Amino acid sequence: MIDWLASYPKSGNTWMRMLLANYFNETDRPHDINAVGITNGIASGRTRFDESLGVDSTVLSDGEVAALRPRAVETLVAFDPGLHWIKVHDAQMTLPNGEWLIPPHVTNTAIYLIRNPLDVAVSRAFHDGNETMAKAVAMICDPAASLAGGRHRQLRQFVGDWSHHVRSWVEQDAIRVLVVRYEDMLADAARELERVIRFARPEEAIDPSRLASAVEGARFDRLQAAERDAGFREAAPRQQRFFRSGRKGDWRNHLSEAEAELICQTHAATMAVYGYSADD
Amino acid sequence: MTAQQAMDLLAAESALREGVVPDSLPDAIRQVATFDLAADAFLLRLPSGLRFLYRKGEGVVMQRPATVDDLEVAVFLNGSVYGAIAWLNGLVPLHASGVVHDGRVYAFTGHSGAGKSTLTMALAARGMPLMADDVLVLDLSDPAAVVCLPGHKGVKLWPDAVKLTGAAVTGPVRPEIEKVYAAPEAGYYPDPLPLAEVLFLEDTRRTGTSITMLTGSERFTRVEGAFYRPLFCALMEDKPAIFKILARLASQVRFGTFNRPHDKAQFDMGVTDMATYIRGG
Repeated sequence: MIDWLASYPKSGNTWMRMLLANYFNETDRPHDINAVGITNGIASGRTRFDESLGVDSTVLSDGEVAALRPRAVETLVAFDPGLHWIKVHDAQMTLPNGEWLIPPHVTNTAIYLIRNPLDVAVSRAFHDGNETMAKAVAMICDPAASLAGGRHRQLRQFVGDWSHHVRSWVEQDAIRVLVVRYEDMLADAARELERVIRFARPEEAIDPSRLASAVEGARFDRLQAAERDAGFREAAPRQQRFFRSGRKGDWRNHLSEAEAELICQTHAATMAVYGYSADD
Repeated sequence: MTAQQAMDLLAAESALREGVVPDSLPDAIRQVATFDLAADAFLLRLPSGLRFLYRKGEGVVMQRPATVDDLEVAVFLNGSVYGAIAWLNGLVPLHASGVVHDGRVYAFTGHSGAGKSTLTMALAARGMPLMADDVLVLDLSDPAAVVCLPGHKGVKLWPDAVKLTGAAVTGPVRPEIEKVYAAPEAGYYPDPLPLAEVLFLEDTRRTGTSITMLTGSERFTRVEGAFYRPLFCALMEDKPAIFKILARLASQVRFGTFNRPHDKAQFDMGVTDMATYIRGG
């Protein structure tokens, strides 16, 4: 069964994965950012799809790939029935035949990581070295937004606009979801990590010393140093640094007033639900 | 079996005819949504309705709806079906592309999108003929050497890789699919040759390139990841049999990593470094 780490891109998913990898790490050393570890890749990974189903996804159409995505997940679980943590950036959706893209019958839980969309936009612009702030803002307000596909290592992922993405996961009732705010992770990462483990693995006895060492092992400056020393496989091709700032409120240094206003207007309702505003 | 006999066997077993293909294999030992594997048979089910059935000694039967054209048939026959036929006949297919230099094969492996085909096409433009693209079949029947069998003609490239390598496009891979077939400048090598080296492609460097040879147990763990579609191998749960293959490969082939920047502006530098490395071999 799978515990999904779901998020709009640049919302703290990799940090949560590193926290979990460090918590469940069997050694005392900080988890290698380039090692697979306890979190098992991303739902849209092309290699896993191709290997699970025995077909080359680059010669399938996007529609054919989407129709087979639930089958690839089922195959993973059939061949490795243990528990998996897997990252997912797709918005949850129903396919033309009515089934869920992310299949509930092989799912344990979903952790939905959410971050102020003003900061998401900035982080997104830096994620793709050629992307301007205006383009990143447009993306998170674009109801048709998608990621990767084509020649990318990841299959195409429909994400929609930021609010749609949030609602697609939080408002569906086929999968149990825990929402975790990035800003709460910044305030107390150990507390948020404990919430995640209690939700997804209630049978697990929480070890406070492991929580503390997991937070220490996934400290932002440590992740930055590891990336500086050995690179990060998951960084985008044009990205200077994957672990760039990580701060809250960095949007004030990068977004114009009009850009911030566009995000706040487009996403006002969803932002209000999760306590986000231009005052953050 | 000589390598030439292995080539002939692979060609004969891949012979295609149209006919009726069942929905599944009653004797399957492995079943997923898209394929069934039996000890002597393989059945592939594609989203378009195209289906292939291979049974050892009987060749391949294909059934398709009217909407499926010959291009679509060819791309799956020469990929998934070809790989399964190789496994079922005791050959070892790698997910790799390879070029020839000085009578030996230098192969590149890595995940889909790692640049295997692009690098081999660029090396072909520097005079190294192509042994195989995407599926490199190995014959281990000669104890003296691991031998590569020549692959299919046509290298599948994304449009940006065509631009990067200046390769000559020969036609589409499949309607509505961006990839195209291209021809290697130095041509296709027609005969079996020993495998010298397999390099795993990585792209985490910001500048420069590095080649690092794998040693010890790392060779075993990484090399298994270079197998083409391991789920097509009926032996995959037979750990001693797999270990025997890995030990054989590790003893007669060098394995390493080739790390270069992902940045396209530095692509030519990587090709130059690799060509120099192979020539210095």
